[in-house]
Amino acid sequence: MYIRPSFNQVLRQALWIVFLAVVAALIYNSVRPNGISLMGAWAPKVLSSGVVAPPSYISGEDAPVINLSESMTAFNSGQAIFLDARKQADYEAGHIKGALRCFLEEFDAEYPLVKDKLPKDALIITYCGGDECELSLFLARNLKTEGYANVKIFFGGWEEWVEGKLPISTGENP
Amino acid sequence: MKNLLKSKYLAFLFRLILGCFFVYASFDKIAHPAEFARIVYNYHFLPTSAINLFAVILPWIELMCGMALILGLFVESASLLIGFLLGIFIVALSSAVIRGLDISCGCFSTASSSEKVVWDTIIRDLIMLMLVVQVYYGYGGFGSVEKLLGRRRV
Repeated sequence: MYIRPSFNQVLRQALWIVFLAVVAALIYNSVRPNGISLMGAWAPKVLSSGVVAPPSYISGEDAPVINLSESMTAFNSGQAIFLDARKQADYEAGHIKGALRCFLEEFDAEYPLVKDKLPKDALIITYCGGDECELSLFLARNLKTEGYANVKIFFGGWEEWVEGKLPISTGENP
Repeated sequence: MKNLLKSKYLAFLFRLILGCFFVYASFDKIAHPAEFARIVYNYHFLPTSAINLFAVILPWIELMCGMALILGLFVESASLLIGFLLGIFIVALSSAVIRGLDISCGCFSTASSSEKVVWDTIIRDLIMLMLVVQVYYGYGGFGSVEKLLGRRRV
């Protein structure tokens, strides 16, 4: 005959399971080689320029950041190449006018498709959805690895560009 | 219907299914805490100071509850916890889908190319929640370590 534990007993045992899990997790995290800090720095960074960057942005090491008005200036000069780091469907739904695209998560497949249109010394401005989107940051890092010297990140991205009612286009080709 | 809810054979089967799911789900997260923390962050669901702690502890709760279900130890408590976790997952996933976040689920893998959060993910969790309810009510010590050990005068 099986005697079901009372709900109180069930709760108490559940707390024990959680307690054991917490102890095991903390011990394992502290002795393992790739353990992480228990208080991670996940808050978005506000840079000295006022631009809000994702927490993983490293000032001084990552590509410089530009705001909306600097992006506009670069856009109007016609000298900059905007590179959209979002996936194809988002790009086709709407992108900064003239921007090329290279979806970060498919970088190995998509970079060769745009490589010829990206001179190594050109000013390349990466962007993605906006707000705290990090695709533009990682795309900029990949481009740096590929040898691009003049990459900038526009974290305001698509969201700010649309809010600013600036030129956009839709569809596959820029 | 009531018979199904009380069936010890079904409870045994569901225990094994759920247990394997949760043990399997915990492995990759335990192996890659930093990647998992990033996925938790992407949900924008927790206060930023709680993200790493959550990412470190959650997979261990999954692992222990999964093991408890497979072995047949403290089954009611483990299923209660798993039900609670599934509830949290369903709320977090739903809020991600409703807000239109394009993020990795982080359900079984921490790789960035893994499964995306979509309604299917939520339906899978709802189905698991139903299995948990059956295990909670249907478990009667059948096929368990508890029975082998003679604990609780099974």
